[in-house]
Amino acid sequence: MAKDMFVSMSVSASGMSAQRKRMETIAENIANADATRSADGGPYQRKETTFRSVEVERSRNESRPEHQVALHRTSPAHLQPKNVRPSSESISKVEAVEVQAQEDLFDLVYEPGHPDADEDGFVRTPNINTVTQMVDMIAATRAYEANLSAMKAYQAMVEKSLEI
Amino acid sequence: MKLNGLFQRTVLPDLERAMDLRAVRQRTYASNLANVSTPGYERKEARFVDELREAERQVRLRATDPRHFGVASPRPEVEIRPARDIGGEPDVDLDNEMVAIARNKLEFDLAARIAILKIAGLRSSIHGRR
Amino acid sequence: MSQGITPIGFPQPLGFDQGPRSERAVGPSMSFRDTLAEYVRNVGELERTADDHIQAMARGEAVDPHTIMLALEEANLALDLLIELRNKLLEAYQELSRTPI
Repeated sequence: MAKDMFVSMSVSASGMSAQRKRMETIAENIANADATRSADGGPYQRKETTFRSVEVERSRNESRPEHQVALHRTSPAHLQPKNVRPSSESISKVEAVEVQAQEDLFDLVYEPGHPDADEDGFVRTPNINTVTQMVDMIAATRAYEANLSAMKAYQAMVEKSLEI
Repeated sequence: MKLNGLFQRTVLPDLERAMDLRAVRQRTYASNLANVSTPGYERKEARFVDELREAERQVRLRATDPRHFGVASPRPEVEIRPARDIGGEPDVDLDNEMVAIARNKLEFDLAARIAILKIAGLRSSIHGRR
Repeated sequence: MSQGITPIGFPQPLGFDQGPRSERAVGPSMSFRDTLAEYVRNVGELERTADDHIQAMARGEAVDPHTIMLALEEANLALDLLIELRNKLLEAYQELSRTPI
């Protein structure tokens, strides 16, 4: 795997990208909130965004196992080696994937005159609460902007370093 | 930078150490923010290794033997740990993280600026003029 | 240069001392040649450190920018110092040569 000199920037960029996907998914849900008929038949199925973290390699400034001094147990008062914490953790980028929602996809609305009504007069409509989606959209926007500001802060720090 | 005879008695090694911490911290915070929506992600923080030894409750080493920690330790490195383990905030809050990033940047800038001035001062004293 | 001569007009002690002196302080007890040799070694080390960082960066490894910049500046400063030392030595030598016997 190619190493990355400006890891922090890649991490923040991945955050922005992931939140943007989330925003797109929400926009799609809102646009299709009333779609009782979709391309593959049936009402529109609500979508969601799943996030997962992806570890990145450590860099030179961080402690590594070979920097740790080996413990020699010379006294029973000392801890077992397994009690000693492992060394430095990694930081992580993030990936977002748009997926189909699994539960509560549809609502049933009684509307006998509707072209998509079934024999009992009910229409299956997407279970999308526009208000909920908008709240989620705001949260995604804030998260996107936070990642952007993190990237800008890092950029300024690098530029400062170049003045040395 | 290795501890070197010429500069080890200046403040430059300390300044570099300060910048090292802020650099690692910046990407740690970036990681936290990127994963604000990731379920199960553990918020992380960065500290100097020797500070970690005090922060972690489990580890108590008594220096009864020269081979133990604390004797002629190498230049302290920076480690990243789950915040929960070292008494930090376990959850990612957008605003708190952004404030932390802003503060961290200022601290970095301060150290960098001082280093710049220090180096300029050393250069002047080498060339015998102010 | 013979043993024990303290060079004329040099700042004391060489090495940007800001705190208490180490056991190996510069002074009449230590030959100037040894000091000079040590400084040359130091300069070499600093250059190597800087090159090491630059090569790592060229390989695409994750080196922090401030680390590289500091290493470069320190190597440059050390070299500057060495060049100034050389110049002062030459001056001193020329002074001495001009001294009428």
